Amino acid sequence: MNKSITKSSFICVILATLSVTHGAYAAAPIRLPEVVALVPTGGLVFSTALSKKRNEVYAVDARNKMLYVIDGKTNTRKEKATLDLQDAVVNGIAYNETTDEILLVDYAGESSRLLVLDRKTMEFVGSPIALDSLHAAKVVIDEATDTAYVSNMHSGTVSVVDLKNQSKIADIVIGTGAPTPAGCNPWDSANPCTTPGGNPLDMKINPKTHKVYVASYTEGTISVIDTRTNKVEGARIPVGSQPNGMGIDTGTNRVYVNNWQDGTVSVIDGDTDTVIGEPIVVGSGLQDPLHCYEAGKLDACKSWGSMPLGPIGVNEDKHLVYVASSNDGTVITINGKTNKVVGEPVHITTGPLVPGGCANFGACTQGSSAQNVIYNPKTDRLYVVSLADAWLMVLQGQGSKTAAPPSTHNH
Amino acid sequence: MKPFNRVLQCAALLGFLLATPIKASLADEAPTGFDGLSNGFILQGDYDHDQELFEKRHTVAGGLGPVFNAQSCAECHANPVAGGGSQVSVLRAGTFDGKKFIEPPGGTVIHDRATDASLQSKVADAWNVRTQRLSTNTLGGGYIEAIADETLLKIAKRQPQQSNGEIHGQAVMVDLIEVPGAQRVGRFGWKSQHASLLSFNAEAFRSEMGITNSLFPSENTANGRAVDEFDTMADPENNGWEVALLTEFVRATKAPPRDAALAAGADAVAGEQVFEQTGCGICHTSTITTAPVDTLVNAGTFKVPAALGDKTIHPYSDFLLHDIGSGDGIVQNGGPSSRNKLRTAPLWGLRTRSRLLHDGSALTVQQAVKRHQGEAATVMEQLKALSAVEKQQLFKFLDSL
Ligand code: HEC
Ligand code: HEC
Repeated sequence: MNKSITKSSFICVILATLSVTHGAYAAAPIRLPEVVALVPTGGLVFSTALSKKRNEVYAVDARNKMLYVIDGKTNTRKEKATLDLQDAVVNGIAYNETTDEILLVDYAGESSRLLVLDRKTMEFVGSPIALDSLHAAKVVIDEATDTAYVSNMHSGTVSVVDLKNQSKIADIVIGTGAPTPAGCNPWDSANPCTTPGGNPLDMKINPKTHKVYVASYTEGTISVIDTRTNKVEGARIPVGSQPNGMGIDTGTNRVYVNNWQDGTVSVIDGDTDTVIGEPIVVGSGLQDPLHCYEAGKLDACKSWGSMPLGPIGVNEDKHLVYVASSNDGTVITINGKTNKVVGEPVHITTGPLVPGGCANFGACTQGSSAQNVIYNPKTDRLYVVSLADAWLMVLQGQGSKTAAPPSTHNH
Repeated sequence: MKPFNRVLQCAALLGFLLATPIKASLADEAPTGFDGLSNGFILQGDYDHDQELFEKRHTVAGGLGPVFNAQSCAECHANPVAGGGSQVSVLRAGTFDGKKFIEPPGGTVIHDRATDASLQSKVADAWNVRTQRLSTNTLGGGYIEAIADETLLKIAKRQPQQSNGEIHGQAVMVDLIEVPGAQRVGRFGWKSQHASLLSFNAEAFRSEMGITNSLFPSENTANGRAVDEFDTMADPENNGWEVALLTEFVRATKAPPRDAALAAGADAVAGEQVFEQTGCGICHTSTITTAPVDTLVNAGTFKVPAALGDKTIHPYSDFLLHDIGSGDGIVQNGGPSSRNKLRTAPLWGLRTRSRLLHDGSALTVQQAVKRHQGEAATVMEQLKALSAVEKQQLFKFLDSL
């Protein structure tokens, strides 16, 4: 009797302690990110990568075809390291912390290539690796096995590249695969496609679980590749409309997915690879009427919604998830513990786009778009592309402002 | 007309069976079931997701209309599971001037619904050709698509030999919409008007729901009147991704199963013999083997996957057009001679249908069978000559399908 009382009261103490800790956690105000610097770019940066080791950010400018190296300490470009990419048309970029190399995806011409750049010398290593694919897009690296995964938008595949031997070793079909008819080119009006295929775009790797998550842009699904077998594992995971950027909290094993057309973020439980909860509405949220952008008529949308775009930054330490809203020009913070938006969105530059939706038509007269968040856990810095302003914005993750207590504001 | 010699006919049948036993025994039976499960072409999770699209209720914001027939594929294809047929019919009309068939303005489909009252389509009094077409079953469609042209052409060639020239199924070469200039033997729809599921589904997306796509980029019209004023979306309204996934879905459906208990009964087993001996099976072909795995079909755009290739199916159809006197007078892709012909209705899944023949004008199997004339005249004679027991066995067999 006595014994069991002692035992249960002991458990109660633990529970109490836990709940106190938990309570203290909940009460600890979450700090919102804050802009601390901006780095001018040439004009059209779609892709960025981070070197934690060097505290550098790499940004590819698609307009003037330059690769910029940005010093994380000074928030300035290292002009001497700027590389003219010449004929290459680069979309995806990734940095290999192990080999100190930068991988660039070149989709110029009929067949895409993967270029390997030695960061130290800023010289290419070996010859370009042929992917035999159309419009390669993004790249992620499995550093443990020295393997790269490249998404080929219009071949409907992910190429697996052995970086040691500099050769492609496999093509993995994503979704419905290649567009039809075979050999069509969605960017060539003389040779159009009638179905778009799987359209794999953004990817994220979770090295701990040996999984690469691939967003199938047109089909609204995420495919999971097992890096040990280089095969698609299980069924596609349905998310929202036009998923295009992801982030992973490897601590909680949660995958966050931007649904561009929906103005939402889907959360995937990486243990089961299934979606959990309802999609999180971010920023100005859903379009009105829903999916009006797809209508393709300029006046179809009463509201464009937030249109979150590009990779998602994750602070795994504090389980904070940072999403860029291309249409609002903001960074939204999601509490990864509750999967709820915290605080107000942070404007990264000059405010929302005018006219609404202009980022999609390139006719903005005011405001900035925000896209592509990367997070440096060593420095607590966020890097966000402001496309319309041609700036790379630098934000302090833990800024001076805290999120107001749970707001009743309903997005 | 002289009845065919039953003995001769049996010999021909036997000869056919003997000529192809190796192939028949090598091919696996295609999986069947009204169970909502994938046939193995794709993973079950992907099937479930595709089925959601098949069942998705489209709205004006998603491209529906302005003129259309229904809001989702499953509104018409749902019995007993998503992908099956239904009692829902689609109106078609036109004019026959005594010599040729003339399409009405905007085509033969008369859309029942519109997003604005001013766009209501109707049949004009002057149009003397009118019909309703029941929604056909799409389950097992992937296997039908995987049948090689040669297989269907071979059946067509055999039929006159089996029937003193009376039965002569017409294989219609139809355009593959996804490969301009390419053709293939048609096999889908009451008039075998399409040869690939991509072609059919893309047209259904546009014609039944008013959702334009890369294969069918222009809107349905309201009896030929433009609908632009009420069209809120730029065309094509869908770049084809949904059509591709709907096609994946249909390809992944299992073939309709037989009623196992009835099929095992002595009457049904004997009835199948009667069915073949009477000559029903000349058109309602009981067994077909799909093309070998990795065969390129649809003008090279689709490689027959392991789940669909080298499979034995029992569709009870030759997918060819015949005139059995029930024709509806509409000309689609088969040319003027196909005006009063119809595809041999596949009898798999027959027991799930409450209305029969293309227009639902027969409400019992007996009634549907009685309507067979024309190319089926001699077979009907042979049917009449059957004993009461044989007839009963035949209908027991049909009930098991
Ligand atoms: C309004 C009802 C209706 C809707 C909605 C509809 N269908 Fe059909 N479907 C039909 C009818 C009627 C036929 C037979 C057409 C004919 O031959 O006249 C048919 C035939 C088909 C066939 C051919 C099957 C065969 O072998 O005969 C396929 C495949 C098909 N439909 C797919 C679809 C898909 C995919 C959708 C959704 C995009 C769809 N249908 C929407 C009524 C409908
Ligand atoms: C010459 C070819 C031919 C022969 C022989 C033939 N059929 Fe048919 N059958 C057809 C065609 C064509 C249709 C579709 C007619 C229509 O829809 O108007 C059809 C339709 C049917 C249907 C209705 C199916 C449905 O889903 O609507 C049944 C039942 C049927 N046949 C049974 C038989 C039986 C039993 C025999 C033998 C006594 C037979 N048929 C012989 C061509 C044939």
